Amino acid sequence: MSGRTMAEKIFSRMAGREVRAGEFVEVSPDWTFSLDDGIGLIEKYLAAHGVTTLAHPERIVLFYDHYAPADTPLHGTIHRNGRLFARRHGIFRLHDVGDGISHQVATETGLVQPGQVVVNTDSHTMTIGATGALGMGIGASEMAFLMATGKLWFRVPTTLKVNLTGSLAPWATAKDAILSLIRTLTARGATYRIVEFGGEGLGRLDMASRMTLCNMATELGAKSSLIEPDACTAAHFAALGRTELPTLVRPDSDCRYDAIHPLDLSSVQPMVARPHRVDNVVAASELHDVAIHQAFLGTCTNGRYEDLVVAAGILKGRRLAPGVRMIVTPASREVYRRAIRSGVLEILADAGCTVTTAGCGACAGMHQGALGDQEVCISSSSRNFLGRMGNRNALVYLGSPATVSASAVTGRITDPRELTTH
Amino acid sequence: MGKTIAEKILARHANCPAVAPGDYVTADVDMVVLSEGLSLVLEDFRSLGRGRVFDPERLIVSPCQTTPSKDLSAAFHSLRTRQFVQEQGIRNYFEIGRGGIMHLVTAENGFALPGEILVGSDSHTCTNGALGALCVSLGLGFAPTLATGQTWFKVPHTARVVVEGAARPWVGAKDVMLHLLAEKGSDGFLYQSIEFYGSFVRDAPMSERFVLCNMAVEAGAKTGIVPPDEKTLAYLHGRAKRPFEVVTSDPDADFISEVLIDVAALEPLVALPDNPANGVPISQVGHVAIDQVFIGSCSNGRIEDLRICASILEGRQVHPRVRVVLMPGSHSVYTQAAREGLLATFAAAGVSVGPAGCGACAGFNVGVLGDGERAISTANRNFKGRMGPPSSQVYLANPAVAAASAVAGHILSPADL
Repeated sequence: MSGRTMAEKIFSRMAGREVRAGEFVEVSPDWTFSLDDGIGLIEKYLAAHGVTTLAHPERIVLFYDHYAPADTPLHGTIHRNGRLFARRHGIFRLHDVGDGISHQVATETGLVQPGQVVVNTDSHTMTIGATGALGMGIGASEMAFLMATGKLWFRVPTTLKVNLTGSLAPWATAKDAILSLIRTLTARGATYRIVEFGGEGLGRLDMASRMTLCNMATELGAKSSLIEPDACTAAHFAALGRTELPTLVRPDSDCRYDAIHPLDLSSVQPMVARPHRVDNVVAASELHDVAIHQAFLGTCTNGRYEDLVVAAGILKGRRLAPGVRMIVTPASREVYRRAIRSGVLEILADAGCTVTTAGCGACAGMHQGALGDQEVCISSSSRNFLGRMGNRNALVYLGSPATVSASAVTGRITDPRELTTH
Repeated sequence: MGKTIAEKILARHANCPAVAPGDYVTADVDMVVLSEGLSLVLEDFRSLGRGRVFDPERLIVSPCQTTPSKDLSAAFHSLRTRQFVQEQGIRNYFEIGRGGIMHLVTAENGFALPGEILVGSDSHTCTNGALGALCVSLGLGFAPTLATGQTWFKVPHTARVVVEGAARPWVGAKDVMLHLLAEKGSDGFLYQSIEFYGSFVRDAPMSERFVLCNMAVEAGAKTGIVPPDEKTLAYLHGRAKRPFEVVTSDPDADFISEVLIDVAALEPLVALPDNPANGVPISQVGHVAIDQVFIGSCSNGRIEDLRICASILEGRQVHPRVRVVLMPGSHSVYTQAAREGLLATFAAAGVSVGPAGCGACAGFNVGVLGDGERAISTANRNFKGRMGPPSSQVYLANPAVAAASAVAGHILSPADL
């Protein structure tokens, strides 16, 4: 009998018995996250089925990130109703307007421990896999069921391992690495699998980079993604003052992977996904004659402090190209505070960036930064589907924070190495 | 008989020796101040068949009311505005990240000058009367002005509002205007030009003078004007886009009325829903719990306002049940606030700072209230449905009261904090 993958171990703990990929299990997740764009619907489902008490209110966390501050009376009322919902059911964790994106807040506060399971009504819940926790996105009706019963079934997924080697060259980032991987594997490359990142190259990637990798495994069709806990993981929690960590879940050396895919970080170049698919990826340098109107820096993919630092490195002493606007939406209040304290925010604002309240921002076209007809945006987010940023007649290109910032300076899609000397 | 500032400016711009209240004149305008609301009159403008605006250098365009675009409709109007600006060669265009609320951008960049006429689409175009200009809103009827550089006026009567004395701590121009509104009502100065005088006005910094003129429109006034003095000139020094001539009222000018306000007798005021003229002294407000605080707008979104808020929020936390939405009035206010450490204070206190612009004021952007929610706002209007659904309520106050209320969770005078 072979050893077990990280996912098999995590599901085994949850199920209370040893389970393998392919088995169906009913589990009670450690954490249940719900967001402002889903809570209204969830409340409706609960009411329709006469649910008056929730199974585990202490495990529920609400986050207002998709449209906070509210942009319409309807959204304002959904926010208000969510607060009343929380009060009524004894949900004492509510991250209100300006706190930031669920995945970012849950990671940076250390709320979720390695080996725990989080479900959330959001596709990019697997971002938290960077800390060794298993995050999975579900729909609003499933969420209502989970809130009511405390249980949910899963088929234990198989695992695709990505074996990282080498190290990133200057101005090549984790975003470029994951875009390269998505180009190779395509949007269906890991359907319903766990994407597990490991290998000797992992040790040289910081937590922010790891979150970007896990975040975009979603775009491979993955059920979730995980990073094997290591010294970086331990340091992340130690920095949060956690001296006692749970036993870190690691894959057995003889566990069974569906496939092992090599990814040499040294060969990664700045990459860009063209409209309207995330796997429509080319080198940034090939797109140098694509003029842009908007640059967007933010999201659960690349709205972290480290990303803002990269942007500031490029924008310091420069101004945005005429005719270009750049919107910066920090992923969380903590990211915003750090950016202010360190002077990064001032550099961005001086360059002409429009800095918004922390949250999901323009990513899904639900908040500030919607595009006009025929407008072109280079975005640090994770998706460029038709109409993603609010307009079916607009074009969204995806790149790293460095590529986004360099493009904002030149007014066309720009490989950051063009602007920098290294 | 002597003449008032409005009469003199209109006479000069209408090329008449003198005009009197009630006269109809056609006057040249010096500047047209616009936001992305420009997009709303493009069909009107094109129907006039002129093709070109009268003078692209005389237009200033700063998208601020719906920016950054929150939806398709906002993006559509911003894009049409950009396209028109390019097509017409309008250089005084302030993209987000460079501009902010049109009135602040106009003043900051020296486009509002004594003796000149500024018109615009926005009700609060009157704000820059603080610089001794005649600043008037044309609503959405400005397409002919874009084509011709002219518009017609009925010459307004002029009222004198004399504000004397030294304000108590935490009392400012906002309170003077809420008091005036409470005394005279929303129609107290219908179609009049208000000229502000008195020791309070003399001593007031420009930031406070803008507030006086900004709120004049809430009393039904055509505009508000502060006669230029050395403070006006100091503000314009190095900023004015062209030479100008200061216009003041004659000593024997004919004022239709005079109102005297003793500012020393005022405590901070709060305008109750749903009218700016519902002002009461804060000591009479009672216990009003709030859900949201909005700091910003063309009334009180200047750096001086942010400094006051920061001085109160420093070392304190926003009440856990309250959210504070702060939008600096302009991008230069934003960068200045960053430099001075004000943004750090706000962030530490738990304030959500948004980008420069009109923000939550009119419910056009973010910071919209939910059903039955209550906000206290530093803006100038609290009409039913202004900042959210009709069931929501808005109280108006000065920045200090807004900040103190943010900490307390209910409407509170900063003196009681």
